Amino acid sequence: MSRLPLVVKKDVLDSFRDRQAYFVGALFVLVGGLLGYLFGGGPPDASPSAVPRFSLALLIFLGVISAIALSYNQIVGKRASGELRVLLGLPFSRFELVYGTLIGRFVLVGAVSLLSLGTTVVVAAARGTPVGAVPTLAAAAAVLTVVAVFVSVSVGLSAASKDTSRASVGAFGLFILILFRLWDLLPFAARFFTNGFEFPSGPPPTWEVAWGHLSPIAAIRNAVHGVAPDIASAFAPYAAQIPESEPVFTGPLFGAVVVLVWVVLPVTAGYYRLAGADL
Amino acid sequence: MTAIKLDDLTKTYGDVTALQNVDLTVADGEVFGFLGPNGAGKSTTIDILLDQVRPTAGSAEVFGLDAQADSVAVRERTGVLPDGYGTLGVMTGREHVEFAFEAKNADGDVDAVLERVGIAHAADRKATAYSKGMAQRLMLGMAVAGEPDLLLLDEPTTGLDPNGARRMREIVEAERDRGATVFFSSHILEQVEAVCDRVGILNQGRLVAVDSIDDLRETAGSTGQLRVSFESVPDGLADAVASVEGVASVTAEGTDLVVGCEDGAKAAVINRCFEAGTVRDVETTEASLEDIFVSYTGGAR
Repeated sequence: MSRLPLVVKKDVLDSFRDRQAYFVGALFVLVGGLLGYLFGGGPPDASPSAVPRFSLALLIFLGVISAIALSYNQIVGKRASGELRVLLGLPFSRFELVYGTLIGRFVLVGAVSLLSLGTTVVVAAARGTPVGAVPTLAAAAAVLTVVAVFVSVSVGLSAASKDTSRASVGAFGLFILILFRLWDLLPFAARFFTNGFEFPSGPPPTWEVAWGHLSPIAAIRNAVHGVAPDIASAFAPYAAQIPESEPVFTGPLFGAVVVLVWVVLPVTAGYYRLAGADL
Repeated sequence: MTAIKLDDLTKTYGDVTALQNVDLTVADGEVFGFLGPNGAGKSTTIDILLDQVRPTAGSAEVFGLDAQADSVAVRERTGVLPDGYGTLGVMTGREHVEFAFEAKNADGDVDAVLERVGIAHAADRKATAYSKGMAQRLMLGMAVAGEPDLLLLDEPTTGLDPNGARRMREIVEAERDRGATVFFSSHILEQVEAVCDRVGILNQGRLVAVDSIDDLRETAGSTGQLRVSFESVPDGLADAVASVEGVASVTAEGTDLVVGCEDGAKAAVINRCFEAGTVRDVETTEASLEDIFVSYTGGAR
């Protein structure tokens, strides 16, 4: 019988035992409440999607940071402390430990994110601003997807790392890559190097544009754009714009597939690294 | 029924050979001591049995199950006190033992386990605040929780005070009486001698001897010692004693005659001494386990 639920339960309870859940939960609710208060004072004829959209924009940032910060040490840290040796002396498989941690962290970061969104919506509505149910649900789904991707990437990184310092470097790299949009600069940098260290001229080639839409944030945005276009602009600070021509790789279905790969692949790659390792 | 079977087990890390062609069988219900100097490969062997380390060649089986392919099934029947363990997050002692029962799908009395390993008084404190010895007791408690068929204990007495070491021995004996197989590693010889049916001596990745301690004594050629005290050592006695079968060495030290001999020859030697003069005292010692250990590991300890 599977011990996956027990790993999930332990992972979630651990976050209460070490106070992480309280601290992060309080922070998310506080920020969410503040946002609700500020936007709740707006005009009463505001669009019903405005409040969920602003909340989503904030939660993309907070969600990515929290997902990475709360997950990147979750397996490699146990490996360094010797906790993993105890867990693997008990009848847990490495599969259960990796995917149980994935689910546990998703539950934690997902729950505080929804709590924040909920607080914003309730406070704003109480202050008389109209809030639509549909855009709120869409924002909830979108933020959960962001959390799922970055928990997967970070747990995968944690499982694949031999020691905590490598995992820290990896986590820091992730911040830069995604939140500072280093991702979008990579193809340009590649062209700069291949161009004999001179700035390339002319419009970016298609592959460079496509690369921008393979980033997890852009892919989620593209998928959301197909379902709930009125909240998709919340992603604008973190992702390349969709060009006027709307090439196929910016379509919602393509985006959804890319997102699915981002959720499944990193944690699975991390699992295989850990599965093959001597501890 | 075989509890542990190692077949031509080899593990190398780059140029370093941790284990080399180790063959070993441990019977069900046996208490087996795994002896060796630091770095001999004891922990590597235990790690392979738990699938935390993968062998380069050869195989390891526990109760007929492959230690790699059926690792979870192996660990369902095994209680482990690992080397280099860490506490589970910031759980209390009680939560640790509860978690062990839950992970093993076993019912049991958590308080009884905590009492048994001697940390009941600290059960509700966070295990991160435990001393080394208390943490060691906690890990033993998690190992015995749920009455496993096999106990794998890696250096179980490290960090324990004398009371703790004695309690560890009593628990090992009780587990054996319950029918469990106990496999533990140690470099502390007295503990191994006190509880083990058989011992294996590992040196630089090679299993150099497997036997009962008595037989190891004999095989290693280590002899006992006899010290006979006189007013003064009678003339010619040394030669007479030296001619007794089984005597390896005879030296006169002041008023004492010191005889190195097999245990079987001791009676005859004492007999000669009584015939020759007035014996004031007789002391007899067995070859120490230390001597045996050194003779097998070339003083590498």
